[in-house]
Amino acid sequence: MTDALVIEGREIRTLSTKGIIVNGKILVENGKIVSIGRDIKLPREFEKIKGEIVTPGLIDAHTHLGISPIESTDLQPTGTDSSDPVTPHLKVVDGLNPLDRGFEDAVRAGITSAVVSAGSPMAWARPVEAITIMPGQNAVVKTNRRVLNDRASLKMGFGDHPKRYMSLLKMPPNTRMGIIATLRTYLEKAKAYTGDEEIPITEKNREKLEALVPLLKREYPAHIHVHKADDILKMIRLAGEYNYDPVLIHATESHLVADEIASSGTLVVFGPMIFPRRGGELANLTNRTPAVLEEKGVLFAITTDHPCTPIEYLAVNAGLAMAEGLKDGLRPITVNAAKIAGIWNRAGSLEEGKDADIAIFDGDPTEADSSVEYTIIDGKVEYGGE
Amino acid sequence: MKAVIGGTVLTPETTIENGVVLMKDGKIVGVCRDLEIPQGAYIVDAKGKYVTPGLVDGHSHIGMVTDGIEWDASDVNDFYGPVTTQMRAIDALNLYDGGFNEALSGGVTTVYTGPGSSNIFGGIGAILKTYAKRKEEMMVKDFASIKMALGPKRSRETKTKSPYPTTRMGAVALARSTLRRARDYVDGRLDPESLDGDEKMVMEHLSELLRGNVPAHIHTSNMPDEILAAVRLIEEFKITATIDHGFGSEYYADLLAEKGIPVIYGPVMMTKKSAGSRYISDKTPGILSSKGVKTSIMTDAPLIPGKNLLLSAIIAAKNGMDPVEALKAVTINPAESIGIGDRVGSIESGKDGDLVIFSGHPLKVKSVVEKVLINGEIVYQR
Repeated sequence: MTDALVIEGREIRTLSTKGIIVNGKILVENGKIVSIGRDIKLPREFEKIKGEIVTPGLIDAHTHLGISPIESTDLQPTGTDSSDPVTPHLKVVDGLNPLDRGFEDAVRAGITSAVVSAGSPMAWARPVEAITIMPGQNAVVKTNRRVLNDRASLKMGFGDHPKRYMSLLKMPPNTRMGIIATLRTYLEKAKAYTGDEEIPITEKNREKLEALVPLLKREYPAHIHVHKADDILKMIRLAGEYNYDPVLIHATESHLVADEIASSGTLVVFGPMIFPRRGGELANLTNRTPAVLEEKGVLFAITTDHPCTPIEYLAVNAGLAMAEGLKDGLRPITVNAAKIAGIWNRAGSLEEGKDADIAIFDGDPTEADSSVEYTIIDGKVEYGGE
Repeated sequence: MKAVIGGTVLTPETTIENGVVLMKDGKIVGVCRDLEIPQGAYIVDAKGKYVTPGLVDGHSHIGMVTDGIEWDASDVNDFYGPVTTQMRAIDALNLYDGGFNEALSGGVTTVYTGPGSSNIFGGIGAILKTYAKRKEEMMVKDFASIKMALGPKRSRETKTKSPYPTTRMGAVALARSTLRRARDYVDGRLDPESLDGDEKMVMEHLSELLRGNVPAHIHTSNMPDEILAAVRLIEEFKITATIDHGFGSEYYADLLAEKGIPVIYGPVMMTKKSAGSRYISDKTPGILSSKGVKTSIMTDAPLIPGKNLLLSAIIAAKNGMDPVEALKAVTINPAESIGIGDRVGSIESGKDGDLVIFSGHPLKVKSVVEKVLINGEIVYQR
């Protein structure tokens, strides 16, 4: 028998079928939500926390937490290996720095889980993004530094950014047609790969193909760095051709092709929003995009691309989108982010049986004048209450 | 005559419920609760809305890096040499940069823009309105500052006319020797005819600083000790200056308050990726202003888009800055610090008719800019 925790909220936003529970309670035991409601049965002994607005712990569906640590020098490891444009066999967990202070910033902001992505955050004050066309495998972590999935999705990069980076490295491919041809070559090989080929396969190629096979079996999705509308359509087409699941990352112009994205059922992670319109790919960056995606029925998350925008401003980004017409600001940073990260079975809403990942705010979570009072991860208070 | 009526007017020092702002010939001629509205005046209804002065961004590079182009086409830093005070922002400014419209859409009516921080003396900055019917009329001041930075920056472009210092002591020594030479020039100890063309221009431009006609904008962004070096130079050469960026400046808040040196802090919400970002804290503006430092907040646009100026102040307020001070940090404080406090930055008679009408309280993320007036004309409507 472990200690029970009861959370009393003036307003519990469950983000589940239970909707908003006024003056409700959540019973937490063994790191899980045991029951939730207005009148629930409580054990004889428990610890109690009271708060104003209780929400699921926030989730950022695209970050570089721990892989592009804050306050670091350029010598520290990042998420792009520049030795080869196609490295689907690399895993971000192998480069993860758990001492990154970004984890603490995330916890203080009520964020309890994040996708840690291979590749690079959108670069500040530099013209070239360090991203190759297939940098590696993403992980999903809790911000208490627990790794939930070390092979959660496969990162790809398309458009001007990998083009410019590959040109800088003087390494092909350097055009969109070249990138897609290279991707197709590898996808064809992976399609034919059975594991007991007689034809000589180099060690490196074998590992690459073994990383692509589960993509084609739809065991994990591709997270694709892409900005422009025409590039988005190309990436949806290629995924359809090889029958893998695409998730559009950044998706700056997704509002221009929202119908096509919705009808193909493609998922979107939009952001960073507080970013210069640097280069042609970002020329159409607007805070209005989430409202358009919501209206068209696209399942989308909002991201900070931490450390591009520091992760602590995630909820404020949702607020900015609401100022431009987004109706539900919480869903893209809870429910939708959990679904995109592949952790909906355990996080993203307050429901019985799910992990007790909970944020408590003293006011509207997406407004800047409110603060996080408590962050609870796996039933443990990680922030607040001192 | 134009009258903005019915709104809650934040001047920003005082709050006037149901206030009237009267404008004539582009200037504010009255602001009061029960002002009589002259017959025939054009009425702008702001009932239920909030009215603030046009926002002022005290430090940006708008027009120097055009919106929507790759940054290798930027005109911010010229690697001609470590002293490029002969260069002027006005000669690089693209008045058709979408960055001006973007700032305007966020309620920003006046911006300081200028050269970057790669050189010890980067060049001459300018102050502009974000909109004018005739683009050339956007210019408020084409010689608004001497940009300085006490670097050194780690990476330099290869070809330069003269070598860059590689240490901070080297950077400060170069700043000092250049200013001493300018002092000699001002005092007539240096024969202008003995100087080559570049240096003569540098000396003439620096004379304006030493004569107290323009302030220096001193870039300090890595650590608090840069601020001490800047203060030494300010005292030694008796110049007027602002501390720009000022990460870690709260460590010297008392000193800056005592010396009356303003800080233009920011950008807020920028990445903390580099080692130099150790001292970035959203609490800094609040601490500075509570200790009596004239504190402004900048976007450094396009680094943080110009429309996010007010959001930056909102973040400062969330982290302890008094709400009125937060509004002053994007209106009257930057206006005074960059030297145009007599024209913009507050709603009072005699100032330019630059106003913003917000749907709700300006310090709420979800309030939006509904109308912007510059020189008494509505130049933006949502």
